[in-house]
Amino acid sequence: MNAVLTLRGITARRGGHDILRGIDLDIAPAETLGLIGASGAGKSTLARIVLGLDRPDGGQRHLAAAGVQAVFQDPQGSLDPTHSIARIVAEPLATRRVRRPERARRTLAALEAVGLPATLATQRPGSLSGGQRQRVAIARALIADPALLVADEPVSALDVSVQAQVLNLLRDARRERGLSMLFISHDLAAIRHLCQRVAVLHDGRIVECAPAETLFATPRHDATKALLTGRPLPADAALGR
Amino acid sequence: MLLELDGFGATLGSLTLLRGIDLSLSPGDSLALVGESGSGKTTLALALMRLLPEGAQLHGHARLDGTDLTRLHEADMRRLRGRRISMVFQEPLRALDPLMRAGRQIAEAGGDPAALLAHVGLSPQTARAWPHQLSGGQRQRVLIATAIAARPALLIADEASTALDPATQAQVLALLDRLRAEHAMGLLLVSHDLGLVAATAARLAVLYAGRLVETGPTAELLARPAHPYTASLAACSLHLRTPPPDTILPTLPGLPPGPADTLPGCRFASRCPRAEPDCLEAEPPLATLDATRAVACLHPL
Repeated sequence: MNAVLTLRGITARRGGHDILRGIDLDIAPAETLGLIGASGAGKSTLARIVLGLDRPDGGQRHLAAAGVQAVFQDPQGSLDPTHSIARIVAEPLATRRVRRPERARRTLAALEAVGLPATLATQRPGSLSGGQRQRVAIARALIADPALLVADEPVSALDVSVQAQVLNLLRDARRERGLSMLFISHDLAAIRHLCQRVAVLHDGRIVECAPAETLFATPRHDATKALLTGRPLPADAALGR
Repeated sequence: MLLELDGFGATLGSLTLLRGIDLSLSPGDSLALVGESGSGKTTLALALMRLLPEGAQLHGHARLDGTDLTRLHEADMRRLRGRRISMVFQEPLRALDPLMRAGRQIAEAGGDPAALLAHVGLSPQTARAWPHQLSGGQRQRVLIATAIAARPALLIADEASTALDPATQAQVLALLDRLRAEHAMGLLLVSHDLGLVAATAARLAVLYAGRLVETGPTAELLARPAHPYTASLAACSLHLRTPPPDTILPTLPGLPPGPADTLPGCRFASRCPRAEPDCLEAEPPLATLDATRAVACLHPL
């Protein structure tokens, strides 16, 4: 089957440093690809390039179908505090000339899909809990049926009790809608639970990419082993990281 | 006893932030405060540091080396803070002064920068660095160095490792544990995830809506939780066990009541799978299970 996302030879320089040094990556339909790596490995730069928020300095990015959406770590920062929940969730439909009754119907359906009551539609983000805000962000991301969702640390700011709810939601979106996902996280347990394949970013390169089970059972690259065991690489130890 | 809480509580106007907390900590002992947002774990840490917002009132007793922190004048508290009792906060970038080099921050906290940087595993050159030039893990280490500069008897670490990548997270927790052992320092960890602190803290104290609901040795408490809330938190954590991939995870729906809610009865009752009518009548007191464990529940597991 054709990949939903194809990256070939992506490079990025920021502030005189090579952040990404030639990234090749594919995400299949209905696949969740995990991306792990130490802080500063280039994960967020890669996420911004996949989302089209930043341009790569070299290489090609190809999306097979229209629509890529994002969910970030801090739901507070990504929701306009002056807008109602209904308006925030319907935002991706505004540019698509969806008529008002249809928009209202899909907004309520999107809220229901993430387990939020319809009564929340008229409220503002400020009156919601952190878990509710992250669910609003997911409802907004899914309302226009994107082909690909980029989730950058979507659960790390949430309570354990809410993390499980959000992970269940993302799992359902993949199984029921065939959503493809790039799931970026420091949380190896969440990665292992949700992802079919995992890519390891180290020093601007994908140094290992394997089915999740294989990667966790038999990591091959030293950078992967360091991430999995919690022991630093000799180079990082020397830097005092 | 290094720290002894006896009916410790905090109110802010009509809000009850914490109530009836009984806990103790010996020198060289480690205890983790766990619970969701709003459980009162950070409030308890700040209350011990006497850093709650103005107008907050403390109740009961909180004795540090016999000195009751609830009765202490602010001037005396200022002499203890950072010296006898010290705290590492969640966000090192906000806790460090962005306009001061790392070494000077440690010196101002009363320590020798070179020795302390080595102690937390950083190179001597780090002393010359500005906070923004450091990685998240390095900043957290600098912050720990300032917090232990005056050799405190009690160190509080509030989600000190949560924002870090797993390798760095494990290193920071290992560092805190080493400092605890080497200096016979009391270590109070604060976390929302039982699984993250399970390996570091010898004992756990589970808080819910400003109340202590269960306490005991970590291994026993995780193997056989007595309070349904502890059991739910443990079931949600992916860090305690590995469920089959791509399956539905157990969740804990609903939200804890806030400090303005003055419901009678157990504060967990509305979310509890084991709630009975008598749970709604009065708040269950913390009852001893054995020499080391206590639980506040009428129908424990």
